[in-house]
Amino acid sequence: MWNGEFGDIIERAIKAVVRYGELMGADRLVKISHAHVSGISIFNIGDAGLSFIEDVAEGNARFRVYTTANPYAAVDTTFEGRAFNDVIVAKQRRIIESLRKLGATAFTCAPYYVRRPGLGEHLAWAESNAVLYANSVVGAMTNREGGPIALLEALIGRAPNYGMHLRDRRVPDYIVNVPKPSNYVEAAVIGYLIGRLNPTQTPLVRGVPKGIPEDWVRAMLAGFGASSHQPLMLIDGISPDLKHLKCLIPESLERVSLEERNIREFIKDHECSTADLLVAGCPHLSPNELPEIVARAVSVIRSGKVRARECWIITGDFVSDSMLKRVGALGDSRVKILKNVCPVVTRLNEIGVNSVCTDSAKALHYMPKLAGVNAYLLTSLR
Amino acid sequence: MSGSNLRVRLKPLYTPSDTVETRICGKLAVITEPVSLLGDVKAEEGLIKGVRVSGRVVIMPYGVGSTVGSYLIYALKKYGKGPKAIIVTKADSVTAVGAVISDIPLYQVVSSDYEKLLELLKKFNEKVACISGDGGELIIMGDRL
Repeated sequence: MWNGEFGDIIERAIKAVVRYGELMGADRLVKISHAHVSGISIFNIGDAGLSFIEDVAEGNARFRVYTTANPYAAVDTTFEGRAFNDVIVAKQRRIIESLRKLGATAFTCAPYYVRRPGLGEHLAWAESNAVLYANSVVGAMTNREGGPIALLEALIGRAPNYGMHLRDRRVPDYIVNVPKPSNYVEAAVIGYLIGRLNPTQTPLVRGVPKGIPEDWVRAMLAGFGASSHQPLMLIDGISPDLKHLKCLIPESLERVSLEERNIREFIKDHECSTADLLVAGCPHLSPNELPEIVARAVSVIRSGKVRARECWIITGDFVSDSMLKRVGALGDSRVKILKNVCPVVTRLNEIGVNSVCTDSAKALHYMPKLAGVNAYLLTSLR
Repeated sequence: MSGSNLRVRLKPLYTPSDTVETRICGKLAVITEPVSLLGDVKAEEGLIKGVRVSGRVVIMPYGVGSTVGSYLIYALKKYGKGPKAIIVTKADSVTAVGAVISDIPLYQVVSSDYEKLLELLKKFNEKVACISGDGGELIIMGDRL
């Protein structure tokens, strides 16, 4: 492939991936089985990203491995009848079309529900909550790739062999004891606060109870990914890597603790009372969570317990249409179930949304900057 | 090249195949602060942090922030406002990926005191400079070739 016989784009992709790998200290490239591309919202990548993705798709190059992509901006959704301008809508559609043409099979931040990787499988994923889930829950191997590099890795089916691809790098730097979460939001906040303790080190988390719902674990990892740069959180009782690490963890590792009051104070400081919009589904809701969250959202909106004008509930194509029909029937026209989009990477202020309440610590972190809204924590959906 | 020209040692990080062994000359564009490519680049105007970079040899510390920043280098090139070459004091993946997908030669400064060097070079903004054919040296020529 080095000599360009597969076309100029592929040659450039290999050069970029190799160059990047050298900078990261990789010794070689490793074959991957699944790439996940991020950075596909028009608000995030703008005309620059649109033109690159379109140029790549125009040629004959196609993704060489199974590839999924992040959800796109919710440009087709209205807020109390207000819609995004046609130019933005058209550009977002062009990005989606180009990625489909290249071979992207799904648009979700939970690609592990579309294709669950196997233990020890090498991946090139570029969405922090998904990367953390793959490494920490599944025991698959992926670095926390950037959007553009993951796209190039998808084109060549290989990623540089460094970091999380090496077993001896998948070890804890310190131990953190956490209180037992009593709901989804607490789990999300625990993850977020662990990341804030030390954004550049891998924690070994102790105190997460056996049998904790998977969705709480996802919330915790997503929160951690927002406040930390790490691709891995080793969780006692959950992370497959710990099975063979157990006896290798030195007792001298630094230990810290999160206290229950840290969690409660954080939630109190960010508690929502009223907002234009409620958002649930960061990361995308699992088929398990969806019916209950829709039912609760309808009740919250109707009762006025939290004063809000609309509620958006977000999931992916892995939820069947028949299920959507079933839970949709519970609905209220103010409660919208959306698929394959991400309100966090959507400039919501452009359609008149100024404040959002969400059950996600990750959304709470990113929405002020990326969505242009004030964000608060919503506890009454969980 | 007279002996009084200021010389800076470089190491090539990426050279598109068609620029091998070719001297690259242009006006110097000096940026002294790390660049958040997503936010600091105005592609259509050919500016990085307000400094005109089109057709120039850019020297900057390194890129920071969103990985999507690589696309902004591509956009500069696509709008015909791309730099002739980029020199960084520290290699980072966002700038490296951006340079490779845009076919812009990329070099790294070999020096111990980067901040001092960039401060010194600030005086030479918009002066003509050349990168030697082997990519090992930046030579600041002055006002003309």
